[in-house]
Amino acid sequence: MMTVEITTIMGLKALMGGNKDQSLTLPDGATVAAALDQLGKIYGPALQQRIFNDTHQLNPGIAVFVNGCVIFARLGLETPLQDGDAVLIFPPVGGG
Amino acid sequence: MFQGGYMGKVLRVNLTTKTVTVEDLPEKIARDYIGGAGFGVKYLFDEVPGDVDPLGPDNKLIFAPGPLSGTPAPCASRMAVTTKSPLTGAVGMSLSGGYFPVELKFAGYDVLIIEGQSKTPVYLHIKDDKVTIKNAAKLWGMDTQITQTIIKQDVNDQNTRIACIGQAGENQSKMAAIINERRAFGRKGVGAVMGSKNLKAIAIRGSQQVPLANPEAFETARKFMLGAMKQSPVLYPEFSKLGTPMVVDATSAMGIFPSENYRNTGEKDYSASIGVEASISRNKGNEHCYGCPVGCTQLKLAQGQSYEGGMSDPEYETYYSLGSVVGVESVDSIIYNDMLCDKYGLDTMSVGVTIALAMELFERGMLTAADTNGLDLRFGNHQAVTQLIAEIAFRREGIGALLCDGSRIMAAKVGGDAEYFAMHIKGLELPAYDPRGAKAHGLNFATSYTGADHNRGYAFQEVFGIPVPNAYDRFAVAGKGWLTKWNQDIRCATTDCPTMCGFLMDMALPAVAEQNTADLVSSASGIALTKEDVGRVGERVNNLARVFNISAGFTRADDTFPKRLMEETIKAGGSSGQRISEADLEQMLNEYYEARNWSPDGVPSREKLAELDLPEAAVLLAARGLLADD
Repeated sequence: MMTVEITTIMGLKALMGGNKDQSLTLPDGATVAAALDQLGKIYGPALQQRIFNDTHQLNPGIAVFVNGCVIFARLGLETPLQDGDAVLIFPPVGGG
Repeated sequence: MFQGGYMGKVLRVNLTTKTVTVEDLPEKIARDYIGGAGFGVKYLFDEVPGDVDPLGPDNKLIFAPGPLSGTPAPCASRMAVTTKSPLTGAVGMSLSGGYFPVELKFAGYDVLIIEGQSKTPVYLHIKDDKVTIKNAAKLWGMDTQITQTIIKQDVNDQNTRIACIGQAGENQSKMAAIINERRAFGRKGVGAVMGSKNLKAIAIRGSQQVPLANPEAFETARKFMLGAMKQSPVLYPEFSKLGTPMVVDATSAMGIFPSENYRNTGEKDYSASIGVEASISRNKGNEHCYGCPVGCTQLKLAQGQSYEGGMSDPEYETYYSLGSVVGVESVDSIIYNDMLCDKYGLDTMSVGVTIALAMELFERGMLTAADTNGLDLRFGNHQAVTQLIAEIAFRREGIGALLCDGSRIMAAKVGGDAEYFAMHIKGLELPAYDPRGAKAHGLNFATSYTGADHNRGYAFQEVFGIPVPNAYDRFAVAGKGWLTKWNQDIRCATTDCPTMCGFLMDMALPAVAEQNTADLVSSASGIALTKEDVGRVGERVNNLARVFNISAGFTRADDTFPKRLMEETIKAGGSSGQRISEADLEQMLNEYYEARNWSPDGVPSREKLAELDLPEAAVLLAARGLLADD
């Protein structure tokens, strides 16, 4: 098993029990998709529907970064995770 | 003769001779530059020598909305003011929104050029074709809000739209802004140029309509845009309710929200104290620019004894500049100090970053209480920030005079190692993103024609993870030269020139922005533009501005970062371990110049200038022996 550190903000934080930061234990070799699925199991359908569309792809505007790198620049939801990885999940954000 | 979009007229006001002339807007300029920043850069290049004194009579202020301003296109009430910046010495271009931009169109003009220098304070009153230079002696010394109130009484018209300077502009602080209602042409010291001309305000009232060349095609394009806005995952669900302050939470989580003059970015989480949850508790409603259905401006009322009654609308950048970068964790002080900057007519960003430099120098003993008029300038002292804003606006002897021209000049005055801690590029203070954790965003700061300016080539791929045109690792160096060129050109072509809100393009239309611009501008004006034409406009403006800057003395050596960012590593947070080495900078710059077809010295090639139909730029470079392929 391995542990990754999950961080999220704003509306997604509210759907994850108000936790900005939390540890998540996963089987070795788990992917980003597996991590998001597990969070969905913990926090329920409201979170699942916020993150995934009907075909289990990320909803528009949701971005996931692993150790700072957006997963779209790696293998998307199939990006593998390693013990100690930092996973940042963004709801749609813009401005600045 | 234009069929629509453009009013076809350039209004020229000479404050030395007190003459007013109206010229035709050449169709070629409209086609090649669209409007806004494009018009500004073109007229600046043609009429102002690169070595002009920015605060002398030969510098000009060029105000230009776009062809969509005043039409039913959403979110197009934007205007660029272009000049030679007294803060940077480079092209100074700043955009504002609100209601002032469309009023110039309604009065019948696409461009307003202010030249010369009045001997006494004046303001300009434009009422359609009646243009009057009026005495502003009684307004001199007044803040921006009172000035607007008095002028409306003076011209007996409460619906007159006004842009004006406050005391900071009068005192020619190089951080002075031009304020229009609650919006600002904020950066690069454009307010100081207005002050140098003794021009207190520009008041406009128009009664005309902006015609449309092809109303049916325009309506199709407009509906497409409104549909894209409705489908945006950010614009209505989040942005209209939270505005730009939500970015504090995003960049804090990424570890790129700079703090305490960049000495400890990522080490403290400012989102807990000044993030969106804290700031939204002060909300009193939102405000819209003309023709904007979103209304992202969040009006906030400060609470608590020290700042009670303070009301303003700080944007994301101000939570950094009057917050984290000066170590302040009080939302109320940020609201209040933002209000003060608007009132005096100061750029919150440059002011905050310059105060941060003073705080660091104070903590290091390079400034003492004798230098600070007794102020305790330790990081986090928000009362000191409040005091310093007034010192700067009035250029008061001592600390006010030391800070009022920005961080570069202040560091030079202090001497020693002060420049190492001055967070500017080409004299313009850095925006609220630590470049070490977002390399393309940073490279844009280093290469933007206006200095460290996030809006000239916003890397939304890095900051928000949007995979358009491709996804990028924000820490990587390779590929960032190409990406920066892409971001700068598309931003210029689809927001700065047509004067369309940049937020809208990023959040609703990133993949189709050029086509959307082509459809709207073509149907409004009758000038047929393809999306490729639009893209070339962005590239043309960036190249012409580059040549202006070369003529002003800038070289490759100026496309760089503050030394601190190249020598110190981020120690904690979401960008821990990141820095930009000399080798990283060289690699990114080489790639960027190659992508632009510029020489290794950063000079546009004859081939590129010919491709963009910029013979005047080639002539200038050739005359100086600078054309790389000669």
